[in-house]
Amino acid sequence: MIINVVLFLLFQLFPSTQAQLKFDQANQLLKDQDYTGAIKGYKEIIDADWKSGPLYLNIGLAYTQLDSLGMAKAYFLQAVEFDDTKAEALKGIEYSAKKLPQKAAYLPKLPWDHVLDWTIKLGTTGWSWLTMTFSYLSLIILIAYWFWFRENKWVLRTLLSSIVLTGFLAAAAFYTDYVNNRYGNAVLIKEQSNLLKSTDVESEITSITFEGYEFIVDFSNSKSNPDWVYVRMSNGIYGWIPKSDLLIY
Amino acid sequence: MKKIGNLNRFFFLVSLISVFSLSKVWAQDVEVNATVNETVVFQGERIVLTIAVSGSKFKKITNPDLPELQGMRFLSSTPSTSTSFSFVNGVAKSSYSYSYYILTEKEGEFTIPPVSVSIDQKLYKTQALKVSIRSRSAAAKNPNASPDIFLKMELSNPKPYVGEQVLATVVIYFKNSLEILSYQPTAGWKAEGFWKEELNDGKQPQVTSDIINGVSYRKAELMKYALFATKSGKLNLSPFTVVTTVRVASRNRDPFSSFFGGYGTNQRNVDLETDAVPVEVISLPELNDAIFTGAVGNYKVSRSITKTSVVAGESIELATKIQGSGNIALVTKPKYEFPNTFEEYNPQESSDINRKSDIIKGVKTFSDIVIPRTPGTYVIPEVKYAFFNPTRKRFETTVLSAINLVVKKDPRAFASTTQQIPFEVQPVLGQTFWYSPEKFTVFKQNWFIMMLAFPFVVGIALFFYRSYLDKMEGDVQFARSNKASRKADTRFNAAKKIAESDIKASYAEMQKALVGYVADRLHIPETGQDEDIYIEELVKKGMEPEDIKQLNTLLQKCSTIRFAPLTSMQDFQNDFQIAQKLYKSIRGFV
Repeated sequence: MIINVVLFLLFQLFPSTQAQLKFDQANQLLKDQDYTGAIKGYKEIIDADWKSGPLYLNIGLAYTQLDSLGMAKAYFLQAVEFDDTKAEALKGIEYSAKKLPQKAAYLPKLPWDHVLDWTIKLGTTGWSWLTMTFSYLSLIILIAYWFWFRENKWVLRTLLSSIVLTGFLAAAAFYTDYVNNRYGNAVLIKEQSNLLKSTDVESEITSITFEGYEFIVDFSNSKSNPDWVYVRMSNGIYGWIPKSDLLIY
Repeated sequence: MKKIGNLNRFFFLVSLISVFSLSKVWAQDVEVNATVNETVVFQGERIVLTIAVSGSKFKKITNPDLPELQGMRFLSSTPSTSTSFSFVNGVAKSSYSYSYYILTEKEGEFTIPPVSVSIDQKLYKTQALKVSIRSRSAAAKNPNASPDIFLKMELSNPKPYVGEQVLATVVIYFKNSLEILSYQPTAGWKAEGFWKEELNDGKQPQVTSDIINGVSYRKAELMKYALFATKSGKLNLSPFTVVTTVRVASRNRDPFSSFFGGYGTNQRNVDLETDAVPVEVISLPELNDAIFTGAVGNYKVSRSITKTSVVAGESIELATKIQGSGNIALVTKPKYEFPNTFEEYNPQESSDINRKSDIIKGVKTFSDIVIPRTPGTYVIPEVKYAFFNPTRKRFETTVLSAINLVVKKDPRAFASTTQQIPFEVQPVLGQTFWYSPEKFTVFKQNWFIMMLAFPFVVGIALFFYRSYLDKMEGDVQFARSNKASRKADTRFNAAKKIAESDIKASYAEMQKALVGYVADRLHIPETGQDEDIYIEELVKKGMEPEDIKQLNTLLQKCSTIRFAPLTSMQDFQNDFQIAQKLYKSIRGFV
């Protein structure tokens, strides 16, 4: 009784404790080689809005044991985003890529793409706080310039630089938010699926895609049909694919 | 049954008519004739149209221009040609002949239209030729008629069940006086409503004898098909066509001679066709408590598994073997229910079917490939598999027993080297850091927007303030205008303050307040100016005449008060109020 009360209070005060408990239970199922049960337990944690590197890594490993390599790859790709599981997740991605029979072609990234990736990685919140910081800094320099250092060109240059930088930071915040809302990532979990020119199954096939292929999902364009998503393949080809064939994250 | 008439009499008649049907075209010394070798023929027979050109004085002949035919068709537009020369009474004569094969298709009286031939750029035409085409079916329906040759399709069972095998045999009947030199089935026979398998034992057709309506015939089975009806109801097997080459044999020939004779002079091609054969297909009875996958025949069914004890992740093959005679090619895979933790892969299928005997036999094996993913003890449940036995006219059921399966843990689950690919990533099982995904965008929060807007608002306000200060410092008129009110108020206050001690000085201050205000606002120098200038400016600005008058009076009083005797405090207060009123009025439009 006391333990239950303590656990209840603990869960209320620290909701992540509940996530850890479920994680431990699912891990036990994983150790017992009940992979389906373990995956079910892990997904309950995701449904409760918690995430962690080990969570995604373990789901990827469970799917590897079930030979669902597309699913495994999708979770390894999510585990890569966490520093504590990055190295192991990369091994998982490499393994699933080797085992999957079809390899996807990737367009080489331009320097601009790397910049955009980095921009998105910092996140909307990061860019927003940076914008806030630099806007106040600009105000302080402005006051100093107008009322004390009117003739000092260096202060003027610093002021202009600060204002321009603030503008760039704000633009980065808006861009990151736009990209996060409009685009998502996905991996093909079916053995094979056709990329079509429209949402009509009889429409022209743009490309044939195979399990483990990665896509960028355009949520904005996909709003027109709930069962289909508009995607961009890693080789730059666009098209429509059934939503049920993908794991979108 | 289809019959043709007595061929000896027929050939004689044809030769006779051929002579009379000769068509002649005379033009100078050029002669163009058209002939057919037969004018009365059976449907499906071939006739030869010959265009003969003869003459002594021509140089260039083009190929005949073939007309459109009714009830017949040219087998080829390329003729076989021959040329001959003769020299009679000192005159040289050339002859050319063009021969075309025509296939007779429809029953009736038809005409071959005139054929055009261009000789030395001059057009010659033959006369039209009449051809009578007779029906074999009509001849066969006559009980007194006994055709020389006909084709028949014989069925082993005209009332089969759906899926039951029916043996369809194409049999040729011919009289002793004929020899079959060769036969060629026409491709593309469609047995609509049936699945058909051609049976071939690899032997030449054997000739046997038979007597039909008292007439002795020889017969041979040319083709055999195993037919399986795919739907119930009244179906029709379409006519089967065979093109044969026959010749009239010598009278003393042995009736049991070989099927294929040698070539002779009376050789000809004959197209033979069976009648359409009706088949009434019976539907299968109802079946409730067993799996039926379309098997009709006599079968033995069994089920086996490769292993009953495996480790998780190891594949298992569950084989279902269906062996026997019947529609084995049409049998589909039985569907089993596997435990949820079993992963099912694409099933395999193999078959070995014997088509050499009259009954199709064989074995078909279906393999379900499954991989159990979770350790435990499992049961693949028992099922009843049914096939319809047409001989017994009922379903027969085979019970496929339940299969018990033990799935053990895989000791090397996370250290597999499948397909030579090492993978030894271990799961993370201990404590971990938990993150909650962002539920809101910070820059969309009101407090954040206000905080972010604050420096901008302050910056804009400071900009205006700085601009104001700059203007005040740099623009004297602007500064005077802006300071006018404050200066006038100060002066009025001073006037009021010093009134009790020095009333004349108070009037002077009051005058400065009014004049100074107008001068500052209207950018007029304050000193050294006549008061009339201020009055004029105020008149221009539209000040009321009454106020102008009062102002004028007040300013004059202010100017002259120092020379006047002492003024009472009461007068000053009245004048001060007037000055205040005028000041207020001036502020309204200056």
